[in-house]
Amino acid sequence: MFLGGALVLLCAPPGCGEGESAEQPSHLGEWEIPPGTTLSQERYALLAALMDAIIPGDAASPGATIARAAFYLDSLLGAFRSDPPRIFAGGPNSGRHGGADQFSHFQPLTRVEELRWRTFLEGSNGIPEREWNGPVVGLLRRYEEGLDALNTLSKEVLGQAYWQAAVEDRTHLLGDVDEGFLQMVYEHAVEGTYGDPVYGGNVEQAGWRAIDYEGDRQPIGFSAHEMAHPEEG
Amino acid sequence: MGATDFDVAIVGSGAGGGVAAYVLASRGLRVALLEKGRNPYPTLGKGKLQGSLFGNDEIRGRRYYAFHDPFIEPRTFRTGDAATLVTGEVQGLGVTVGGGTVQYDGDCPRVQQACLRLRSTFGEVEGADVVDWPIGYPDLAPYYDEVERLIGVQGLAGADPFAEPRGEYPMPPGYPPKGGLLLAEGAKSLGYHPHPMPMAVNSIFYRGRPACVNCGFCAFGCPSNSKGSTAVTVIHDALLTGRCTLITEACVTRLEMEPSGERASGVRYIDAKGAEQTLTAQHVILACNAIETPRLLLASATPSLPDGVGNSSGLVGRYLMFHIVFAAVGVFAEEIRTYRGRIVTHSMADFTVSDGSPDYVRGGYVELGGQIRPVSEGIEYPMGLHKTLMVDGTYRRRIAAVSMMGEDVPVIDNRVELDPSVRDVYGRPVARMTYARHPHDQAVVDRYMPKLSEIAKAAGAKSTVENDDAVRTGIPDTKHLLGTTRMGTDPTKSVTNEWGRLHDVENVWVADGGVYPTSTAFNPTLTQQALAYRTAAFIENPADPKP
Repeated sequence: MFLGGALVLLCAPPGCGEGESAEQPSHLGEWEIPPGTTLSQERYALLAALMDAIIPGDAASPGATIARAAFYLDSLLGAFRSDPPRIFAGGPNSGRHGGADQFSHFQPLTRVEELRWRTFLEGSNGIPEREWNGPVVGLLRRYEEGLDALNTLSKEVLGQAYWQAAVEDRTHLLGDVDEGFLQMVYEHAVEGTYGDPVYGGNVEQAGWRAIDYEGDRQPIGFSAHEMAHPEEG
Repeated sequence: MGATDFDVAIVGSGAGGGVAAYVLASRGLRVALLEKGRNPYPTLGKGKLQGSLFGNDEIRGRRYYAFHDPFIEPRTFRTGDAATLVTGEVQGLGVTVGGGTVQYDGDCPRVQQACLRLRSTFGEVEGADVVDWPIGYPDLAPYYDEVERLIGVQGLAGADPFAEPRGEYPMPPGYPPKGGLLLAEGAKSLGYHPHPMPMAVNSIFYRGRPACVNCGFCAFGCPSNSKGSTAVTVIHDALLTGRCTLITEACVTRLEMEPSGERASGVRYIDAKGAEQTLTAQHVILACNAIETPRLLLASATPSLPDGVGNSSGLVGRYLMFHIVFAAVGVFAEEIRTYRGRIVTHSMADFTVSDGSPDYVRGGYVELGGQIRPVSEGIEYPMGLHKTLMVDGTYRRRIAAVSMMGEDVPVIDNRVELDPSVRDVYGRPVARMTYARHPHDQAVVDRYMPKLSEIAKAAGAKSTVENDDAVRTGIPDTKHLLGTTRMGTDPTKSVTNEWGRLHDVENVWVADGGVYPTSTAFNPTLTQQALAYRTAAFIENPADPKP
């Protein structure tokens, strides 16, 4: 039932509308893996385990795992498996505060935007049009290599795969992870936890609830009273 | 006018380009408005304007939606000829119909007469080329009035005792958020004169656009069109005349010059499909911004104009100014949540008067407000403390900032050039900036930072953090792009004349912040728009360029 990153699916990620897969998530250790991820099943589990260590959570205040930040990143890596690609949500409203949900109608990309995002995600792969400043290693490969290196390190230091390790060990190991890779994952974990749910993370606004943040507000905005009295929540 | 494709080609649809397009099209000229970015307004120029493709969504901002994207158009920056060159994101603005006015706060102060008479009011500054503008406040005033009416500016006439006399604003100030109110009270208690910031944001239904509902996402593009970007105001109106053709996803790569080198015949551009196109026009207006306009002039070099177009003075790209923006961030015990509502709602001009120090001319306009949202906030926090700090939410919930727009003096070595090796997605050399802070500018920061902290403390802040962002990050991110095609009467000491025309070329005009000879003590957008209006009116009728 697992469909790995090598398989090109037209529209497997949950929440992408027509053609949505009816398959159930699978599990690797404690990590739930949605069907049809772009990353392989093990790499997805590694990413989830890493983001969990970066933004930990508990019942009172959910973190990256409950917000499903790993799926946010996986959705970005597989953005072009949908048409339009899942890069820019539509507008102006999410539908959560009245009106229709326009966010979920992703916007078609312009020619230059498509070139930009394909180059950024897939890499230049020797295509001259993508090498305006030389070769580019795509985000997918940077993640695959970074996660594999993390796992190798974990096996050396902890004697087990990173996704199998206890949270204390996973957190402790962060100090030895490549700084540039870790910063990139940190920023994506933050985006996936507190970004709009339409991009695949912040499930049911768990990230916003965790920090008492209202999220998007169109078309209602804030009243004069709400602005003057933020202490009332 | 003659047998060209258009009477006027305008490059860039931002603050200046949008206004110029409206003025010319409404007076009967055929206008091509070329915009490198996309059109996020499905109903733009089609009857009643409704909605947009913007949303209350931090992620599309992080992905550079309708914004300058350093992945495809990097810039390079250094603080001196021998300093390390950094490649990446430098002073990005909106790349979309409406340009920088789409994501700006909407701050619309006017300048003072003294801003345009810096040399004669305050004298020379050693190591800088401080000059008077070739025009004065009375030359600008009628154009200010008309721009304010068109884009819709809220404000309270007479509330700023340091401002030039003026009439009523088109609409009253809107509801302020708590941060602005607290800081204004603090400033008032110290004897200062805070007032509602003049802003191009609808406080009432105005010219077909709704009142702002205070969603607070101004920096991501206004979803409801309540903010008066040029897209939803003058460009929409220009398109409705039927005489303005908006060409989006069109990257202009060079000016096409006639063999004499004294006239342009039009522009060359790469269209939405990637094909090269040429467009002819009687006049060309460059309104790309003070980084991209000199880049285009330099990239338009020909064998007979090896230093670029309009550059006989050698000053194209020189006198780059950004303003010095620095802030005292007040940390409050109580909830503020400045993200509820507009980013800035109050301001004060008390420091725009000289305090007699010989070390600097004066301070600048002060903004009271500022905000941050959780994705940016989270990335600011150190990873190890992320969870604790996010739950506490100090940046998001308990801070309000006092920030100053200091005048950076014009220095000839601060400049924009073509980078010799870095290219953009269109294959063009990118802009390389060399910019260092003059001792005058540092003296302003040193003198006024403690005064900004005092205001925050008077407002009730339990502590303050002094933030000089350009020093903290190494690259100014002020969004105020000025100088580089400075206007003046002497063709050997300036690039454009008092109407914004290149001295060297009889039909090429600049309508962006590049024409500023000095940076003034105020947010620049409204003044750029008044200047653009004036330039366009002059092109249409040089004998009587009335607003």
